Amino acid sequence: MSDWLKQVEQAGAGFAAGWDADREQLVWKGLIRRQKRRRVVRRSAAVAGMLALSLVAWRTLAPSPPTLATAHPVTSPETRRPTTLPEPKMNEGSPAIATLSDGTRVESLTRSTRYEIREASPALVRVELLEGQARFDVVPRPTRRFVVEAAAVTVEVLGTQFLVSRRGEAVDVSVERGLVRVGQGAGSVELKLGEAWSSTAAARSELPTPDSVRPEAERNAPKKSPSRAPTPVRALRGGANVGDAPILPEESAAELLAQADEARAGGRPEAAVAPLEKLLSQHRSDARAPLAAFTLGRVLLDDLQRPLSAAEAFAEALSLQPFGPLAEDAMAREVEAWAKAGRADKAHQRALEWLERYPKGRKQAAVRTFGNLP
Amino acid sequence: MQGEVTLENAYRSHASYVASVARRLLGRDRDVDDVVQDVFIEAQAGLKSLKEPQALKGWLATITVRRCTRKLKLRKFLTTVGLETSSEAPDVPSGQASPEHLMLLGRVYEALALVSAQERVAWTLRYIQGERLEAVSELCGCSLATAKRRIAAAHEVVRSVMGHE
Repeated sequence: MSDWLKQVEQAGAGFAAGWDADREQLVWKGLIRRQKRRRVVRRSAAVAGMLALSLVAWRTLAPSPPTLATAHPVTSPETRRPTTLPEPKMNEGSPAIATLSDGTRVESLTRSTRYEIREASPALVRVELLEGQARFDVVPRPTRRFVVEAAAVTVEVLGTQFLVSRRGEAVDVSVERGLVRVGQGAGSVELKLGEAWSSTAAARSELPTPDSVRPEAERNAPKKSPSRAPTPVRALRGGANVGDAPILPEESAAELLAQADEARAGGRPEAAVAPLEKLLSQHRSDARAPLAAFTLGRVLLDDLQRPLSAAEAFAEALSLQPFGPLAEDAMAREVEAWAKAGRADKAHQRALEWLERYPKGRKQAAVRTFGNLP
Repeated sequence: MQGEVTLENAYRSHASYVASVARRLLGRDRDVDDVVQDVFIEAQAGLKSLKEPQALKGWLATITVRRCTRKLKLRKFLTTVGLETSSEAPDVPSGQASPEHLMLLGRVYEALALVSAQERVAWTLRYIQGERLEAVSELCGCSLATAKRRIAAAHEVVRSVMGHE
């Protein structure tokens, strides 16, 4: 079993808690109440059933006027097919994010971002990016292809989250999670997490070109390690001008987190601060950003005794994922950090908010202490 | 469990276990109480005819799996039509898991939200609950081959989303 699966099993053990005598008694009382309600409902249903039966019998036996028979309209496959493609649902609170009918989320990252859904069926979803930059968080489905078209470039999803940026005919693709296949003409290249591709850089031969433009002999040669592996994101720095697309970062979120972990494990917490701050600056929407903010808070508070900065880091962890798994802890530690920074007023206020949000939270004692509450 | 198998006896003995299984399957706390009540209300009808009292725990687990599968199907439908948030953040009591474990579980549950309820339940029983394959097939009420297929299908998605080989 791989390491991450072992960690999942260990983490799953924590789910066994949360059931105490009070809760058991509360649920038991609710169970008894439900049983009583079911008995009342069953008796009422029986009475209603008898009445309905009587009514039907009465109507059946009484004479009724003749009615015209009507035929059901014939529906052909054509009439059953929807005539318009489903509009993406805009998520409340996040106007730049739309959810497609298959669950895929499309986040418009620039004001100029425009896209249209060209096709939506159980086998294929095809989106054309007309302008700007968008992040696609695609629901992986083995029986459904998801394709983004931008100018002459197609990006086919193999289960992932990725960015596509288009300015005129220039297109950039970078992968934040999983795997995508980028096609141009008859050729294609696969990109993994942390990798990127640019149409303009490819045109200047700075990046691997699709198969179709390689010499026939090279294409037919026995497969070996490619002489030019997909180039990491660094190749784009100082290169293509893609307008309002951001300058792509050097290091991925995973690399930065690993650097921070290495520094902490090596007893150098001060060296963990920079990579964590860089991650938050350059990969704010990465799934690891809340953990990075939380870890930064812990390093600043527990290792470096910088409670004011720690409070900000914990607050950021909460804002990045207000209902995430770290939210309760992040908010509790923020209370502690404010208290240690000498901001008793702020600690008190946040403690009250924490208690309102988590009335049965496990950090009650600490939050009440640091928030100066009884 | 000694003495007659009454509803209250069964509840006091096994409610905690049912709650923990439900919690792992559902990934969050808010539906657990309802599921626990559903399970014991359903179980009540069969308690009198229970031939082997020692089989009670396993039987309750099977009912729990069935109830949770139903809830997950409904949750998926409500999420698709926009009547429920798609947030899958597990609300594990913070004292029981490290932040890294919490984040890991959060991502796992987000990945599991992408598969069918049956595949999710099978994978969760196998890898979060830690059940053997044979136990998974019994709890899910399916053949061993079907259990393996469901686990593999979910695992493919989880691995893809988590970015792991």
